Amino acid sequence: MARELAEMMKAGVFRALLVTFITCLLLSCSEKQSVDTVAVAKAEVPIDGAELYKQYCIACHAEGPGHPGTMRLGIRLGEDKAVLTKRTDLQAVYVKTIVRQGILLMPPFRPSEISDAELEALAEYLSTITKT
Amino acid sequence: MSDKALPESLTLEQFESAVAELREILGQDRVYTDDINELRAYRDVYATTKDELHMPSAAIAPESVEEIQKILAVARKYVVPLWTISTGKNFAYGGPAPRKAGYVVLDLKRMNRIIEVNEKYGYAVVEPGVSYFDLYNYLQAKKSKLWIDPAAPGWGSVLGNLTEHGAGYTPYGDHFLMNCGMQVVLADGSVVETGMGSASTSNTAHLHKYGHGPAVEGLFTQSNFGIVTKIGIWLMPEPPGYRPYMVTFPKEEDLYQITEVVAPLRLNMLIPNAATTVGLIWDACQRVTKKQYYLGKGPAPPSALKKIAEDLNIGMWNFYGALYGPPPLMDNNWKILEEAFRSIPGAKFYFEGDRPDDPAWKYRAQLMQGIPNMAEFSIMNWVGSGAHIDFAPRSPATGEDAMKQFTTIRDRAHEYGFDYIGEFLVGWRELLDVFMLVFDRTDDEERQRAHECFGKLIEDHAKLGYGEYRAHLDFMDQIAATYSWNDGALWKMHHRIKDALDPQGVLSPGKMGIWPESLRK
Repeated sequence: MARELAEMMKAGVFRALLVTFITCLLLSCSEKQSVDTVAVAKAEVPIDGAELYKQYCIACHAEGPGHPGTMRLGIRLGEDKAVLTKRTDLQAVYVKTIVRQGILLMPPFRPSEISDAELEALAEYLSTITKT
Repeated sequence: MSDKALPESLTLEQFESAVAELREILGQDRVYTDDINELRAYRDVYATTKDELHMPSAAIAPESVEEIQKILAVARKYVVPLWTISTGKNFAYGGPAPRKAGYVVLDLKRMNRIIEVNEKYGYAVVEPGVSYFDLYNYLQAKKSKLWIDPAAPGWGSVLGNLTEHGAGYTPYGDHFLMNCGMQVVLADGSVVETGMGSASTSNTAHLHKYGHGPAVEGLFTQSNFGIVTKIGIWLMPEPPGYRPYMVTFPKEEDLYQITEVVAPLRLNMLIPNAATTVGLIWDACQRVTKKQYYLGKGPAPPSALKKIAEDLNIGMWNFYGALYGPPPLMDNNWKILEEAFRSIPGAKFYFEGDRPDDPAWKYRAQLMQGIPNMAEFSIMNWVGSGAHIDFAPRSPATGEDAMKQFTTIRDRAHEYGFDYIGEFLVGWRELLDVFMLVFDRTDDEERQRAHECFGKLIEDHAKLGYGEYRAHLDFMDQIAATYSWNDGALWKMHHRIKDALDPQGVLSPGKMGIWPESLRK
């Protein structure tokens, strides 16, 4: 295999493929894409529990495979308690403690990431989502 | 208050005076000193050593370069060691925790502006607090045709990962290679723009990497010579086509031939992205735990691994790659790749739609397409209260080197009672080996054992001639000592630069084994 590749290299096949690939990328860029420069933007964090959940929690705690938090909670507490937004037993004070202190594989979140005010909103959301 | 960790050279009164001045700059809300309610979140929860060794005295969160300059004036006045972090998610290497107890963490998470996205030229300019999720969501909202290249955990910092020499899985996977333009605040408070950005009339700060004079960006990566406050990073234009694929291999010893086959394909860019060969347990952790297959002590035996492979329809090694480009080009390239992989007996091929219930396939396909996620953290579910530190040596991309590294690490891990959980990537010309040393962090004895195992691995690889590219806080000095050619000339040079740029040693003392003169042994 290595010898075959070396021969192809000598024959310039790879170089031709590479040039084609790069050319196609460039063409795709120039033909399809805007030339605008996006204005300065701030990654603003709204004080909205549902939005905060999407921003900070959902990547690990969404329903289904591929979400390490959901997987761990399913193992530890059972599948009926695996998905945070389907829990009926979450208390706001518990949510706040876990976020600041971490648990099992979950590292804690710093006040520079989630402010105390944001944490209040997030805890309120998770402790009431199934009750509303 | 008597147990409060403090900077080594400060009395409690001096520390409190420094904190008072920091509060004048940042207000009450962005200076954190409460050990329980605020600073416990600055622990490295995956460390193999005790929390007290890395307990900060305080953390501060500036929102601008001007605030950093004012903070530096206070740090120089009191000689306060500042430990800089970006999003603080550098887990396996220390997370947000400082090198030593008593440091003040300079937490740049709140500097989170996406300053520019240039659609025409394909780049972004971001501050340290911007995560892969932030940048991805921003581009999606703007309907941008640019991809990001995320590290496996999407909550990581775009800037932080780049300055740590991190990698991703699209063709733009060598992150530092994609850097173009950098802003750095030096210890004396002066602000430097590198490369073309330093020309007063430049409009190519993020297009041309070098400019006139030395290219200095590398000096500010994996170092403590300055505080990087802004980077330009090239983004890949969305290609006209994308096809992920997976090839499984049944035997451990197949790693030799996989590496031999993949290396020339990668070198010649027929495989344009990080060519990743993933070990069985790494993939299996997405769906199963160790307890489901083995309840004994020590590493899971071969019989358990064989059963997992059968149940999950995966190999002892699982290769992930992707084709990018117009369909005719992908068709043409695949013919060459397929023939190459078929030369290895037992190879099985999978494409989009073949593994609908396999989260390992899904997250790999996402990463190679620039879609950030957190799926890889499922590896910590392999054991009960999982944590990990990562051992990451580099070698030539040959089958012999791959097998030597694999067997050395596997045997040492087994000796200490741990499973081999690893992957190999052909970066371009080199082999990137990542061994995830997963342990139960609630078990003190196991943590200690993991610590000893890691130290042995560094020794083993130094003897074999392999160096590591990155290190956990607790192993930075040990690994730095292996870069010893010519009586340690490189680290002597680092120390001369450190002393020149930061004579008081206030910036991240000990980062990567670079210490200010006052703290050198």
